[in-house]
Amino acid sequence: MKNCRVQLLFTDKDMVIKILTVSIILLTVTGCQNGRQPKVGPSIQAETREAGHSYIAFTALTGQYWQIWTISSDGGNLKQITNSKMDKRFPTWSADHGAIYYSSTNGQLYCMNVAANEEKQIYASPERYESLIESPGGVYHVLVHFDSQRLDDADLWITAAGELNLKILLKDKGYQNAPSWSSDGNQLVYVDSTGYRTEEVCQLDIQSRRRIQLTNNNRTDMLPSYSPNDSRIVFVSDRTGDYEIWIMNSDGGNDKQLTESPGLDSFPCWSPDGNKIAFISGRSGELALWIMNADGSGQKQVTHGMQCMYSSWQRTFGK
Amino acid sequence: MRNISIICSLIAILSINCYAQSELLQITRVSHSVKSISIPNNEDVIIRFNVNEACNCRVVFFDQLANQLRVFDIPNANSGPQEIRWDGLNYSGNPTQDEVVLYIIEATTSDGRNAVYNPADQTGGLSMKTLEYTFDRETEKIEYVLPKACKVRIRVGLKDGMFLGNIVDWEPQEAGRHQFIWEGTDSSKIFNVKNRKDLELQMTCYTLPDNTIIVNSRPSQQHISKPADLVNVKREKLWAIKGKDIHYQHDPRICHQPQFSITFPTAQKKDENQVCLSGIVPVRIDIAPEDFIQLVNARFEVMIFVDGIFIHEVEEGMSPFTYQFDTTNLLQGRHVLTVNILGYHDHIGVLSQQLIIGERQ
Repeated sequence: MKNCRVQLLFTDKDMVIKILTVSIILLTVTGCQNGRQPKVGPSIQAETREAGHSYIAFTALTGQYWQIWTISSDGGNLKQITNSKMDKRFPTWSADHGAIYYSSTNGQLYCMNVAANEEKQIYASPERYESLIESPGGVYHVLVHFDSQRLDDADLWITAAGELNLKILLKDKGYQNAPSWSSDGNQLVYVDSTGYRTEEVCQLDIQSRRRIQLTNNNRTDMLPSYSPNDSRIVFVSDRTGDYEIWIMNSDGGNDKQLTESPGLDSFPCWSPDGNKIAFISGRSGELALWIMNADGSGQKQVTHGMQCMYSSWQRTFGK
Repeated sequence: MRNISIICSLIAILSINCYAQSELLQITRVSHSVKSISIPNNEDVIIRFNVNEACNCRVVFFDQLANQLRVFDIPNANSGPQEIRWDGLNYSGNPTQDEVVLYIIEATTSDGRNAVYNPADQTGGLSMKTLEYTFDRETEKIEYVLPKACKVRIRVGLKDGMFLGNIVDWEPQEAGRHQFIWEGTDSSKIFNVKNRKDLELQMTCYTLPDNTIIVNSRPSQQHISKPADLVNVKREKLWAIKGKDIHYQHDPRICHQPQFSITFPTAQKKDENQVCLSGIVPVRIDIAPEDFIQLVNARFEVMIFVDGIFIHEVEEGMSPFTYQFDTTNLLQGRHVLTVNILGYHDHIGVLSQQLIIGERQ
């Protein structure tokens, strides 16, 4: 069936030529603009395990360790991706969807080539890193660096993808973590600890390093993520006394609560088209992956019978 | 002029009538004979109060989750003093399992007017921030005075370092002077920090409502924990919890030192108290099932210390949590590994484990 589809697609020779031409131009432009050779992860073009579906990566307790799993957006194709004897945290997709980055509980970073089933440690260092995110086009990596001597001290560092040339991107008092790229790669949203048990969502302009605080309520606002068109930010807040998923405009205005359930609702991420949000919820008695519409309607449990944490949906930047 | 007089007279008559109809039914002079009772010692409490007119009276006892434990009716009570006696047992004749019980008095007249005595909103859950205590290192005596009955926690830790556990773990205590002996050990009885300069004792407490009876029904303190269904809204209908001390707002079942275990899947165990390690070894931390949900819902951090020195921290904890412990930089011999589980709702679990570090593998 798959072969038939491929044959049908390629019967129009003109169309094929047009697609190839556009692809070459796009690749050339991207390469020139950035002047960099991506990347540390495997360069496998868009994950095509099942045409028409995008994939969500998450961690699940598998035996004694938390492993990376993926599932397609319709809830099918559940697949265990990693198998090594260590806990995995904060999985994120590479820009080309061919790899998943994650960190270990010891603060070491790894890259899993999904197609080749190959796990590789990256940026090996005695330092402790977490939450690697790859910029649009796979040019830069931003990651969270933890101070090994001091409690609750973390900063954002940046490097050209694959080059062990880490530089401080943002270092403030306390910790800055959970970064997420805008689709044009010019901004990040991240979390800044502003006091005891208070975290606020902030925005950083990469070029000017100008920071804007987007939330201000002396509660915990965390795990922000830009929508694919950058107009909105989904995040988690405990301002109602319970961790729930919220959404706001990218300037911090018009915030709205999307979930309301006892227990944890956290780790939200956008679908590539911006119409849906995946998240982790404990409302059913197990920490499961859920999907809802971006307005909070249609909340549906996707995984069953497994304890899950974190979620990362394949993103298509620039839409 | 005549019209004005008539209007004034009518107003006066109406006012008198309204006053007569709105005469307040009142519950006054409420007292309890004792603040605490011990069920094993067959103690009971007498609740006394006054009503200012004939009415039906009811005294209802609730636990902290607003579950009704027992009801005492005094039908057709005359105006004047009333009393009931409670032995700490619930409807089924079993000892109440909660250490903190609230009573509410209701009075209703035959024409439907009623009064309720429930000072919990005004008197319960107030943070007592300025309490002073003393710790005499020679006599090992901790002493403090509570101006009101409170729930009390005293936490031990090292300044800018690890926590060592609660030596008083959210116990309900009467107003007055309290003193007890603490020999200076942590909850694992491994460290003695009595003479350390960086020792910090942190006392946290909030007031219990005036209509509280403290019930001791067990020979030793045990926590009533339940893994799921920790959300209780019924409580708020009976007494206010919003805006009060954060621990008063919590479901009382979660207010205690969380429990967890430390295991070394690949290590040799020398005896019950010591583990022999060498090289890089996994250290597994498992939150106890009864504390898992509340910690996950509140989120928690994991902090790891060796011999009191910070070595690792994970902001977003999970359970089980496996840390690859590199022992190669440690001197051979005895060491202590301490793990702190820091719930974001201010509940901290503490556990230490003695280690013997052997030769490098």
